[in-house]
Amino acid sequence: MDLLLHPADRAFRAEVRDFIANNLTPEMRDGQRRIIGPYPEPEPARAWQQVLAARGWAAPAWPVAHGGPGWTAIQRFIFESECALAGAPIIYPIGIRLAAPVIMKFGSAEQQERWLPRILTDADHWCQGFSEPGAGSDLASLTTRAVRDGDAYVVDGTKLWTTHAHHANWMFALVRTAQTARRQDGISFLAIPMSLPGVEVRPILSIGGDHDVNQVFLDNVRVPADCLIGQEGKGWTYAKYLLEFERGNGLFSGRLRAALKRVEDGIGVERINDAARLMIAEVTFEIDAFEMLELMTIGVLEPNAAPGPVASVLKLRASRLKQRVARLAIDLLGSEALRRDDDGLRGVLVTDYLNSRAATIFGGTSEVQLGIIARALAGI
Amino acid sequence: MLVHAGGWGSINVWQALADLGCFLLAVPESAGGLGAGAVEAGILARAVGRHLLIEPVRENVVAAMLLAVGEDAGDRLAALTAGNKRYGLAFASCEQPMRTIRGAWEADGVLVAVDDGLLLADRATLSVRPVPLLDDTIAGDVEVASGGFRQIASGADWPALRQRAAALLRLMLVSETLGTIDAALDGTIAYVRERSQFGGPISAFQTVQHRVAEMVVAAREAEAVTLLATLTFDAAGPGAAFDRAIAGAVRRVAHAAELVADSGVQLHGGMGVSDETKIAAQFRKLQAFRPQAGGTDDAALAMVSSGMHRQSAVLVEG
Ligand SMILES: Cc1cc2nc3c(=O)[nH]c(=O)nc-3n(C[C@H](O)[C@H](O)[C@H](O)COP(=O)(O)OP(=O)(O)OC[C@H]3O[C@@H](n4cnc5c(N)ncnc54)[C@H](O)[C@@H]3O)c2cc1C
Repeated sequence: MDLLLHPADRAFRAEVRDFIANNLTPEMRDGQRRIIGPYPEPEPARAWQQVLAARGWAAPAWPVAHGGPGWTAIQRFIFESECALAGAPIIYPIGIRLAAPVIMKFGSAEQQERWLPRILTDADHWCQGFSEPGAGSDLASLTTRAVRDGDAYVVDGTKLWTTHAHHANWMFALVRTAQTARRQDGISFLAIPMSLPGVEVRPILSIGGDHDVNQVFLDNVRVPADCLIGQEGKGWTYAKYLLEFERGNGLFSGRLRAALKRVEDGIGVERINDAARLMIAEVTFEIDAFEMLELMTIGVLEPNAAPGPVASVLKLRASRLKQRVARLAIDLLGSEALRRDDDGLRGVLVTDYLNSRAATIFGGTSEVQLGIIARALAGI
Repeated sequence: MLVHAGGWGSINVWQALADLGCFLLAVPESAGGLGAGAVEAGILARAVGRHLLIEPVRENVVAAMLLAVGEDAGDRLAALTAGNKRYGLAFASCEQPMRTIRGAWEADGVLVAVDDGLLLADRATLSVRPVPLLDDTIAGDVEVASGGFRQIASGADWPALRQRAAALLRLMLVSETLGTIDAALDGTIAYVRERSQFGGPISAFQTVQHRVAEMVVAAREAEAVTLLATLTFDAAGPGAAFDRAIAGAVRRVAHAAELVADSGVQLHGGMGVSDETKIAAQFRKLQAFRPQAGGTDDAALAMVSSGMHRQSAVLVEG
């Protein structure tokens, strides 16, 4: 492995920088700067995604056949790093990074044609219907039922914590299609149009006071049978495959670095003394370490390759670092951190700090990740 | 190994290392060496740490690198790389007495890399008091008879070479510590699988599993920062990028060393605090990292003041 930027990499980086300078608008940058949850609001993130899609750059990890750019691993790394450091909006991942790999690997050709191009431009906005009131970490205990009736599945149940359900027009959901001896064997992977009768979305306010997640009620919803992805009863396998992408395929280090810069900008230069610099340096060193870890593990993967159980190490580190950066703002703000009347960056930092607690819960809690690491990486 | 039992090391181990060419690693090819980079030196150091060698390997890999530019280098260098001679090495000043000089006990001489050149004091001019260290190695407090030091290298290229040598020594310390972290982790995993309490292996307890998992995470991170600093050195040499990378490596490896050492001993129960087990020796070795690794605050402040911390750490400009 070699860290030196070669002339071709430099040329590529210059091309990316040029593109960002010419296409990233102040509104898009401001949207990302005000982000207080895991993902930006659909506007202006969608506008940026469409600009990228027009250039063929919206889905760096997709294979060329489906519209990926065909970059090398290091090009992909450079691209994500440049976008993050420039303050470009995060591309909403639930379609591109979560649904798409499953559709590509297990969906029919017809489904791929129907959904993938619209995911690429965010023409379809997907949400993830896995968790339920009774099924969190123990996801396999889910009870939302789908019963085959002619050319449809009739779905009954409820999904909880569904991020962006209020923006989405599609949900991929885990549903129970059979009662089996092994609970996992009765689960199927179903795409549900959010516009169908019987789908109701109820908002849940977050610990920071904003609306990102929802409860989705599914009441006698008739979902066309051609929305089943892969085989009936194989949903658990597909979900595990998807979770590797959710947990460890994000190239997140640039985003953490940008978040740290936002903290510095938000607390104001007058608070940056040597004590503050040392605190900033400490977090930087952790981000540097994480960046290298990303490069070593997923920075070397072929397009659309799943990272394997090391994804849990990345998820754990990324989520703790997210909290660490958010916490730094509060530590540096001192008594100003008490005040919630600021509608500028300072207020954003306080709300983001509150919401950052979710990072070690969604996508599988830290305790769940530690269990996977012990099992898969330590062999105990 | 108990504190009172230690010598400088084993001549058999030393000879085997020399026969493998270890002391030729950092010697330029023009001087008959292997001209290898930090990556290769790191692989050697990691093995030294994994197997808890007490011999002054690091010091002598770097001593050979320095000797290669010395006057009448040929014989002295050949004797070192063949395993026939060993040196203590210091980078600080040569004010007397010189405290805690690694590799000086029972050595054939002491090398001191000062600002303007390389000083050598031969065995006959030395008075050395052995000092057992926390990591079970024996260092020396050294006094050199008056007129004992000879300057054997200097010149326009010296400061840059000295800087590279000091950087390589620090990198090898980091890699060595990583090797000990690896071994402590592996040993702990083996132990929790084999030790049975309450009718089954203690690895069945979730609190044990999670503690081991935290060790895995810390060890992976330590590996990443070590590799980052090593590759940055090979890509760009000493400079701002390397200062940042090595400071980060020192801090994060220190963090991992502490976590792995503490959890490793804890999960061994009473065995962990007896000198019967490897984990106890590994614990001592890991404690010795922080006091040896040197300060990082200056590098940390420089990094943040210059705004460098806002740039990627892994895409090195060269
Ligand atoms: C902001 C946010 C967004 C989310 N978005 C989505 C989404 O879009 N789609 C979706 O499907 N889900 C989403 N989730 C749900 C998320 O995946 C779950 O919250 C998560 O899996 C944990 O489940 P739970 O909340 O039921 O907690 P529980 O499973 O009840 O866990 C409670 C506590 O018990 C611990 N625990 C549970 N089981 C074990 C065990 N075996 N060993 C040790 N400790 C254990 C947990 O670690 C946790 O600390 C989101 C959650 C949040 C907070």
